Amino acid sequence: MGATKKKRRDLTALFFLLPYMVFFVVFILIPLIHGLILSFQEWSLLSDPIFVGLDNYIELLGVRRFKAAVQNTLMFALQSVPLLLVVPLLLALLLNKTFVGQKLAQNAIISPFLIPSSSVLLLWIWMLDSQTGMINQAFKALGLPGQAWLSRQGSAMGVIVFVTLWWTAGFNIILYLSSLQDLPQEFYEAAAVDGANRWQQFWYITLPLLRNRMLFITTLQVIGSFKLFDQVYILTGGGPAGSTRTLAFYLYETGFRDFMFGRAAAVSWYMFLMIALFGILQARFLNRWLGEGV
Amino acid sequence: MRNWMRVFSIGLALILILSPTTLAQQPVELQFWTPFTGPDGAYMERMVNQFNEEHKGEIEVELFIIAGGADYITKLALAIRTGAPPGVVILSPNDYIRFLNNLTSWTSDELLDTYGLDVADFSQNVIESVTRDGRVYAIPLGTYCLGLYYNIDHLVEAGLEPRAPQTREEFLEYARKLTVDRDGDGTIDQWGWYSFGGWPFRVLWQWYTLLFQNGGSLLSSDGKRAAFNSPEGVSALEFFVDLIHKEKVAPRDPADPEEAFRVGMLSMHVNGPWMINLFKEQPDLNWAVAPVPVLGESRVVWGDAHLMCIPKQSEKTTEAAMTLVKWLSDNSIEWAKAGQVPVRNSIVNSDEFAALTEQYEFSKQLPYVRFLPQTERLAEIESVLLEYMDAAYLGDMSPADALEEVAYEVDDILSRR
Repeated sequence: MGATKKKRRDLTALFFLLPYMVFFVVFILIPLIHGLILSFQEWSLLSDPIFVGLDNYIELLGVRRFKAAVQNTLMFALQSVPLLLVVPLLLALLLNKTFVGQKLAQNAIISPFLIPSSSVLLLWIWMLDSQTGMINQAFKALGLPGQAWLSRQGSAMGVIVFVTLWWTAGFNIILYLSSLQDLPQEFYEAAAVDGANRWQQFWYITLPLLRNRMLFITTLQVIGSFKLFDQVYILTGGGPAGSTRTLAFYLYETGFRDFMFGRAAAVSWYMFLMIALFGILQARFLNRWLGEGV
Repeated sequence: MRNWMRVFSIGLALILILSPTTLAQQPVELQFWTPFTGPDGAYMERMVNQFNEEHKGEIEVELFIIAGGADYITKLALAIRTGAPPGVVILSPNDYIRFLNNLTSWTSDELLDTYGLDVADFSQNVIESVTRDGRVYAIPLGTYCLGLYYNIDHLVEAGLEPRAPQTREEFLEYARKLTVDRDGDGTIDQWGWYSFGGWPFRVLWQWYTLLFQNGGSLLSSDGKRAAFNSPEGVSALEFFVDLIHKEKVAPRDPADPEEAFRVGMLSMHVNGPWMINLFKEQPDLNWAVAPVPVLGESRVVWGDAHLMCIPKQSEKTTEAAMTLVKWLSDNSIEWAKAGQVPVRNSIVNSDEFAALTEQYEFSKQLPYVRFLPQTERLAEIESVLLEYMDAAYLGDMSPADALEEVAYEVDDILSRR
């Protein structure tokens, strides 16, 4: 009796999963396999693909732009992940308090991540323009020299990090806020009774309880930074002097501008390996280190 | 019985619906892809409408305006790959060579005998650039090159003769005298010349021009190595960088010169003929355009062309496509009005074209326009050039170092299969 019932329940589940499974197979699984085959081929879209074995993977290791793209991507991750971990936390702590205009501040700070990338980025291009942009106008009014924000090797990546922070912090703030609102109040009451000050309460109670959330955000953020594309495509086009060319952007150039689809596929598998490597490291070390939490 | 009636009535309805279309000849539908996202798109649309009007019932052309660059080329490759190419597509000389195997080609005799298109009536260097092993792979629609736009009022105010400078010395003298602080507040508000900022490729085109004028070339004659990291190339880049940092006739930070020239903050501006109509629309802007001065040793100017290409497809659509291509070529005086230079000698030498004063100035340069070497890798090469040129213009890197870096990467790009 139990077996037939279970069987029927499984079939029902399968039925409800079917729409997703169809999409998964057509848009993820098949392209994934095709992409793997492609990475062992040379294919210019117009000609027929030629099997070249591991050539694409080996050649890439000697390409300076690829190596620079790996470096730039790691640099971006190194700058943006800690910022996107800490700044949203501070803002969430602030927004978790009640004060006049709290709702307004909450909406203003969180909403940018709901705006599509092109709108956000075109807005920033306009604000960052070296001659007519609002930011340089403000600089001039303060007697400071204007900057060519997106044209300098020193500042372009920094600007991308900043814009990314402004644009995407809201999502992480929501994640933090939901955790903060779930924290058990008894801990704080007990701590207050024991004479712990606010800083101690934060350090010994809030932060440890947020560990899992922070781990989750770190993972999301690392994956996100490996995929960095829109900001580069719209703000800098990979320049100046290639200093903002990320892996995703290099992949796009290789495939869609230079028609080397096999090599582009190989780039994507290198990207996959790097993300997977991080995932394994995290499972091994971070998980053990950040054990408990909400 | 009822079922039988239903089948009968549906059948009757189908016959009624289908009969007019099967009886009358269906017009051939043709897709025409162009990258004319600027004001020139409207001119092309008018021409296509006119063509459709004249060929009603035979050919119906649908004009597509798609932003140029990598996406345009990828879309075309995909369309060809999936067996649904556009009837006619506009390509630049450097893009069309990627598609050589997929394009219809003709001998010059075929063009003359079958279609009445005389190759001899085309600008020689343009038709040469699309001819390979005696076969013509594209019909050029028009060509363009750089010209020197100048603000006549500024020249007069500075006590200069109201004509374009001709030599390097004259150009420098003009640029210095035209850089002024008009309102006396200590910051310069009228610049003699600048070009760094806004549309990025203009910076490359002016450098190509001076590189060619100096006697240099972009690639080695076999096309396998960079040749621009030569004294000719370095001194060409130095000239433009020095205008910013030594001569100080151009602002240090990038700024859009097109806008600045339009509003009278810039006195001299190098750009293509597509700016003509835009500057004409600006009230109170008293300007003219002339061939670019000789800044190097000889008279050369960088140029490029719009080619009409017909991807291989069924005979019927190819014929219709050729009808459109010939019609556009024969009527390219209309295209000239959009701010382009026709490539048909019979049109360039006509009174109607001479009446287009500004376009005519550009056409004076036709005999010495130089195209870039044709390589499938140009898009890659230009992107590297742009990256490092920025660094040179900003003063972050010396022109020689910048070009050396580019040459290293370009050699790598060209050595790949």
